[in-house]
Amino acid sequence: MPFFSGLLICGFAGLTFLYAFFNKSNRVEKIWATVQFRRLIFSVIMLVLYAILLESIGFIMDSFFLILLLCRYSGSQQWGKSILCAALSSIISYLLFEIFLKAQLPKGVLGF
Amino acid sequence: MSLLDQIFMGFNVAFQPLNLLFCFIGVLMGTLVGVLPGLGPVASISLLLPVTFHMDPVSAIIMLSGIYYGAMYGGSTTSILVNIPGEAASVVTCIDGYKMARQGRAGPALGISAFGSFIAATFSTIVLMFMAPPLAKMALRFGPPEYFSLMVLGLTLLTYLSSGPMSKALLMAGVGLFLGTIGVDSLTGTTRFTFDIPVLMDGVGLVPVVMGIFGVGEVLQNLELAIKRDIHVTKISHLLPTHQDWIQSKGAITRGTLIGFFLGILPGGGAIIASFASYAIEKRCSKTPEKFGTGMIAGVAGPEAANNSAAVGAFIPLLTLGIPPNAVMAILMGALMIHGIQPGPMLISQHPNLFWGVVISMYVGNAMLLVLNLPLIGLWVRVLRVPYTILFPLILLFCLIGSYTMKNNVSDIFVMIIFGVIGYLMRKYRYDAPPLVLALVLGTMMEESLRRSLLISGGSPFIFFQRPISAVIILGAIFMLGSSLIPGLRKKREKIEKIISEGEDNEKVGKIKSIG
Repeated sequence: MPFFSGLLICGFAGLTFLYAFFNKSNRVEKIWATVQFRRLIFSVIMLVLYAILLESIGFIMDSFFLILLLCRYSGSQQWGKSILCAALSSIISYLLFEIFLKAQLPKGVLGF
Repeated sequence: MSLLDQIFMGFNVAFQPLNLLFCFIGVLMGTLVGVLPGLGPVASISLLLPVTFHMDPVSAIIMLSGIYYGAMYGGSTTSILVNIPGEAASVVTCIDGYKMARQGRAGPALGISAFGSFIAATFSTIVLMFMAPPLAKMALRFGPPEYFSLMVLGLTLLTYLSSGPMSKALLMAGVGLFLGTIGVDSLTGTTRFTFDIPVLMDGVGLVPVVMGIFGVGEVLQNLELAIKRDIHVTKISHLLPTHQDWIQSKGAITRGTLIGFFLGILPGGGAIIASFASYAIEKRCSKTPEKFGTGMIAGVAGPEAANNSAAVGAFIPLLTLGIPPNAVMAILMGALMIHGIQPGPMLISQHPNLFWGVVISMYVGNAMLLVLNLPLIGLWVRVLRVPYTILFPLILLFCLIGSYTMKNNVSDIFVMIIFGVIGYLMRKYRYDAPPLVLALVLGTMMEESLRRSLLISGGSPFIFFQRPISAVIILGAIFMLGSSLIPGLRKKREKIEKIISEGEDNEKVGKIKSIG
């Protein structure tokens, strides 16, 4: 199966390349023209940081800061709204997954 | 146990208070998902997958199924009222539904869409109930070659019907099959493509991949545009269709139900194709085809019946053959497997409470949807006012929790983020994700069937052509691939692709136009 799937990938990647090569439209330029890279890159970095810090600072703290910073900087919400949203979502999701659904979320050094 | 006893058992399971609650949560979430543009049923089922990990499997599948058919109902509301399809299967409803709303007939359009959906879904559920057990019995006679051929047909159909060039869809299927080979080989026990990375030993998990591609990928794509919604909605009155509306719609609902059901069963088909096919057929059957696009009620009733019928029909191949016909069913199959249940011909006999409980819950869920949708239309329109800037961090948090709680392993979060970025790039360059997901789910089963078939034949690949059922199926797949090269059929396919991609763009941008 790896051989056949590799063959499929190579064959159709080649076809797609040829299709793009002979297609004269300037689509690549168009699709990146309106992209707000700052928000995108910031959001991806926040996700990576969340994963790195999850087991050390615990679920609630980590989730609180993730939502807070995403709402504030990627979503351009005001500080007050961002804090409220972050606090509510991290506590509700903790109650839902940890208490109600008995999932084991990381506690971190602070113990919650 | 007789059929009647099994149906009674289904009622017993579906009417347990907890299952009723999960059915209600499922259809409510489904309607919400259907209403909100930029969050389709695939993404939302994968988002809610972690919630079901610690639930009873019957309740879990009842809830996840509710999301799927609930989304079909919800999608029509925004299509009719604000010309924005909440999900892709409702794109075609915008054409006549929105025109009706502009003429002050939003009420009958919403009403006929809800009643048409209810009739279609109920009919499909009844057929599912009677068709699935004999089909499962027949499937017991299928051997590895038949299964392999069926999976090849499913993948071919899905790539044939996907948007964008077929070479890209087939490339995605190849990537999915390859991802499925990562990890420990189930027959020989050797590790493949793991590069000594511990997280890859168990293979690439379905949950992080799906959440990455459909959840994170979709959020990243929506984030690149500053979405601002400005909603002006007309007053809705007279939700109940008139006698004249019923006369004009009854044929459309009947045809839509039948078309939707058969396209739903077909591997690779599904609600989107069903709604387009129904609209095209209604236009052809009509004595006044030129009036389509100006607010014809049949143009709303037919596609809405078709997409709901297809949503129910899609359960047949999953529950009887263990083959998911589309991406949503692939995720449902993943959910069943997480709970230790193997979908396939033995499912009905080994887990009758699950099968009959889920089937009967569909009746209950559809009745709930009818009651929910009509009086709550005002609420659904208000839901559209929730800013995406608040919604997207919550979606991301759910994706993160879902990936982590699968194995309590942070590495899965990294896998999800990687696939999130890949999913975003796939959207930008118009690579379809469903073939990849379906191939990833089917990959292991396909490989096992292929190897077993070759063991039976002593290494000869002609075994797939020597057994009659397998030969018919595999020739069907070859014909499908060949037909994509026929200029006439190719042009038709490109035309449908264009309409679907235009509708999807409309859905994603979220530009909501005013009515009246």
